[in-house]
Amino acid sequence: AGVMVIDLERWRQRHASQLIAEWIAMNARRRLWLHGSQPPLLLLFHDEVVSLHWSWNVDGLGHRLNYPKNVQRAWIYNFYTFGRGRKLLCREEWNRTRACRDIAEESKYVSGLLITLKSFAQQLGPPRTQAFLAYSTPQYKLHSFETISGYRFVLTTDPSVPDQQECLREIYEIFVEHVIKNPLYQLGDELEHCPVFKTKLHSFLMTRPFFASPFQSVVA
Amino acid sequence: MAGVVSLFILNRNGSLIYSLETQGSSQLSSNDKIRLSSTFHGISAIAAQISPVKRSGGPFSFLQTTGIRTLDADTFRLQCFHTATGVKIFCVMLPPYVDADILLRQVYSHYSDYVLKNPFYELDMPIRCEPFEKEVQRSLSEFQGR
Repeated sequence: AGVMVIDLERWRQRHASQLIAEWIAMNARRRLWLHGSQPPLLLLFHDEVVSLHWSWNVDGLGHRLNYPKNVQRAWIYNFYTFGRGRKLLCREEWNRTRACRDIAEESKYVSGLLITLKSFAQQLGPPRTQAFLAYSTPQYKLHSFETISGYRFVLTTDPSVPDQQECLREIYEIFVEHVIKNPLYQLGDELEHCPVFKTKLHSFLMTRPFFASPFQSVVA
Repeated sequence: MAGVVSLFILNRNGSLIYSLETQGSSQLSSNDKIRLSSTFHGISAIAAQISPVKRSGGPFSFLQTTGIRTLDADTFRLQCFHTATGVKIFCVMLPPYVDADILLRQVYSHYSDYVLKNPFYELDMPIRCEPFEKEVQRSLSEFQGR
C-alpha cells in the first residue's frame, strides 16, 4: 500500500486493526479479493483518505541523489475553466517553465482557440463530428472537455500524458457538486465563494498517475 | 477501409498549395479547403504561443518545431509534419488510427524531389507537378495497403 501516514490514536479508537482482521477473515471464508493488503484498507477507509504529495514517496529517504529526474517533474501545467461567453472562471498553474505574462491575454487566446478548434473540427471532419478533444505540440498537450451547458474544462500537460477526457469529466462532477450546487455562487462568477472546489480539485489531481508519483494515502 | 482520407500541404505563409482527397473524405469545396487549411496554420501558430513550457536550448534548437503535431476530435485525427522551412504537410485520418509519420515524411521527400527540383516551379505557388502527384498517390496507396 505505498506510503501511509497513520494517526495511531485514531487508529486505536476506531479499532481499525480488528476490523481489518475481520475483513481478512471474511476473505478467507469466501474470496472477495485477490491481492494483498490494499483491498481491506480501501474497504475500511474508502473515502476518508487524503492524498500525500508525491515527494513523500521518494525512495531511499533522501540519502540517494540519483533518483530518476522525472520523479521531480509532475506533468501537469495548467487547468482552466471557462463559462458562458468565454469568461475565465478558474485558472490553476503548476510546473510551468515559461511564465505567463498576462493572464487576461492568455485566457483570450485559449478561449478563442477552443472555439476555433471546435468549429474547425466540425467542418473538416466527417459529418457527425461533435467536439474537439485534444491537440499535441512537441512541447505540451492540451485536453478540452465541453459540457452541453457551455462550460469548458481545459488541461495542459506533457505530450506523453494519454487521453484525459475521463479526468475532465470527473472534474466537471466535482464542479457541479461544489460550485453549481453552492447557494452562495452566482452563475457566471469567478470561483471565490467556492474554496472547497479548489481543494477538491487539487486533491483529485494529486491522485492521477501522471500528475503525482505512485498512490499514497493518509488515514483520516 | 479507414485510415488516411485526405492530405494537405501548406506553404510558409499558411496558404494551401496541394490537396488530395480519397473517397472516404467529406468532399469539401475548394474554397473550404483553402479556408480550413489556413485556419489550421493560424491555430498551430497560436498553440505554439501559449505554450507553458520553455523551449529546450541546445545547439540546434532553432530547428525544433513548435506547431501542432496531432489534433484529436471525436471522429477523426489530424496529424501534421512541420518542416524546418515552414512548410506544413498534414493528413486527416479516420479510426482505427495509425501513425502517419512515415507517409508524411515520404510526401515531404517527394516534394523535395519532384517539386522543388522542378525548374518551372515557383516557390510557395500551388503545386501542379504530375510526377509529384503520381508519387503521392502511390505512397498513399502503399500506406493504406499495409
